[in-house]
Amino acid sequence: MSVAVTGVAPRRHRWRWRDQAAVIGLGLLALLVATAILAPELAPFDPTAISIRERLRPPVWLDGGSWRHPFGTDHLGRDVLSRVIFGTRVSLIAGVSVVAIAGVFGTVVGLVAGFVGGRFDALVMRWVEVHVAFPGLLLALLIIAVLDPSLLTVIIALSINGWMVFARLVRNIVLSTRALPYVEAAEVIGCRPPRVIFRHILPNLAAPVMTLAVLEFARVVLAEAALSFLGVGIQPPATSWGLDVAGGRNYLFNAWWLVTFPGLAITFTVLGVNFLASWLRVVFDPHEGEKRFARSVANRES
Amino acid sequence: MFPTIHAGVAMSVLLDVTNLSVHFPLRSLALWGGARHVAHAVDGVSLTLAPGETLGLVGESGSGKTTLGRAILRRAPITAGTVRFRGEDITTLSGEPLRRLRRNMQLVFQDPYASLNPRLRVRDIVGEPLEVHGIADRDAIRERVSRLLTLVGLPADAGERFPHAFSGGQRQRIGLARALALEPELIIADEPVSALDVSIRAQVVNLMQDLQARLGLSYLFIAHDLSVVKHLSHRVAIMYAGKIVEIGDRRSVYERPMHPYTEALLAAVPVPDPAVERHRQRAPLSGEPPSPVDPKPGCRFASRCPLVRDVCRETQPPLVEKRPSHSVACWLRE
Repeated sequence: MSVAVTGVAPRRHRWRWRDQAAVIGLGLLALLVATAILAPELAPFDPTAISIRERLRPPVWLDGGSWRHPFGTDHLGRDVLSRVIFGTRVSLIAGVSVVAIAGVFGTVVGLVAGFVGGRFDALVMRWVEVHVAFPGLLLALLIIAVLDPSLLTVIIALSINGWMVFARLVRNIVLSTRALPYVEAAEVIGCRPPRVIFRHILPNLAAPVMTLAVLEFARVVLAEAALSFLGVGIQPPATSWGLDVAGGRNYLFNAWWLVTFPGLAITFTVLGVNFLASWLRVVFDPHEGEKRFARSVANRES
Repeated sequence: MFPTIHAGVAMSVLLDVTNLSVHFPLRSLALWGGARHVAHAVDGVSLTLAPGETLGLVGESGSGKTTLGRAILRRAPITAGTVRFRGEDITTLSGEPLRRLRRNMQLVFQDPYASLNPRLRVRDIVGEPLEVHGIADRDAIRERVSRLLTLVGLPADAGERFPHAFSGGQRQRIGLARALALEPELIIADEPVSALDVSIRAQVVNLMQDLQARLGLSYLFIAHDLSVVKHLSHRVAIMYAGKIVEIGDRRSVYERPMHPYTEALLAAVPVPDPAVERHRQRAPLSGEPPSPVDPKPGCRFASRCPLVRDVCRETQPPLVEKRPSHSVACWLRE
């Protein structure tokens, strides 16, 4: 420990692959957000504008393609690039709102269950188990069958399916951190419960919950695509990546670009989010911080 | 239970524990039905502590010594008995009065690594008790924290750093500074040096003695070996399977132990001189301590006692003062 006592702040560290991946992830997400906001300015066409004369045009680099439709057109002559650009909005809105709703609800349930304990905890956790055991897609289909299919319904259905993971994670962390000596120390010196929760327990939640939220975001983007693909999500004439993949599958053999470009959009979104998640985990973890600190000391000494 | 222990020190008692029991009901593994089991972690323990005194509480793992310490601090559920602190019954204290009690009673932890929040600076850790009790404003807290850090022998700039910058011994000093911040009268030290290197132990023990002399603290010093306790205790209590089997003045207990368990413990302490060590008579204990769940009648030590008799298996021996300020719970000393 003698080297550690030099007391250098463990702030700076070497540029690592993980950080590069994080920059890529962050870049992809920034691009996504910008695209969603600026969709009307960026898209060359109205995504719903039908033009039968220009149907099934290939992407620009193939024979018959032109810069007028860089990603080609679909079976109704709609511009694929414009549809991918507008589809970003649905994915982002669905992803962010589902994670926000499910994350906040699940975190509150988990915190209360972990803190109150006893019968309440047992009851809530049995409910979570039953809910997890029930097929999520089936429940979503049931909910959408009762309500009308729309973006709002998709958000509601996916939120109802998504909060349990948060509740479980948060409850487990609360239970394990409550047993930590420094949390007991806080109670012994006379901290009131809110202070114990917010100052000593909550910081331990930030990292895993953030990481989970980011991963859940990726899952929700996929789930929205799946629901739209099945025809119970976003309804035409609105656009969504999943909807376009669904519509394009009939033309898979003669117009592969209909499924490829929205599919790639989904892939890159999920990839970017995952890069960011693995980096967040490291940044928030004090043990990883210690390792980084030790490395920086070792580097300086050598 | 047996007032003999209290008699002499009744005039100046800081802490008075009478017949204290902590029983934990165990959840049965069966879905329904099944017998109800109860773990007797602490069973009818009585002890007292005078101001400025150190009571060493010794026992092996699972003997209930930590639970007893936690029960006195009102952090373990008390099943029976009373805890009096400065004459006030604190057995059923809760809420705000219990929180205020924390100012007078503090805990030093065994693990100096896990007992400090890694996300807080040392000055925030040491200053937190002052903050939550609203004792001083920010500037005053800063000043008191740096005085506390000096008091426990840490460099003045230690406050600006995070716990991970410190060694185990230094961290234990930080923990001590936090416990001292409220100027408590009683510190319960739960094996404060057993996680430390042997070379560091003496430093921390000496610091604790030094602080006692300067601040007039009382310690309930929990340990699992007799050598550490011998150095700083005025009185020693030996715990076995949730009960105190022997309690008395340090010299009396160490030089003329009366309980077979204490004798076995003392025999297990190595002697630094190899010549003596080689020829020493030792009767190591065999077997395991009994399960605290649903204990059998009779003496808890009966299953391992080399001198066991029939009466030991039938009736629990009471803790009786056999010599001045030295009590033992054993039928053989009748």
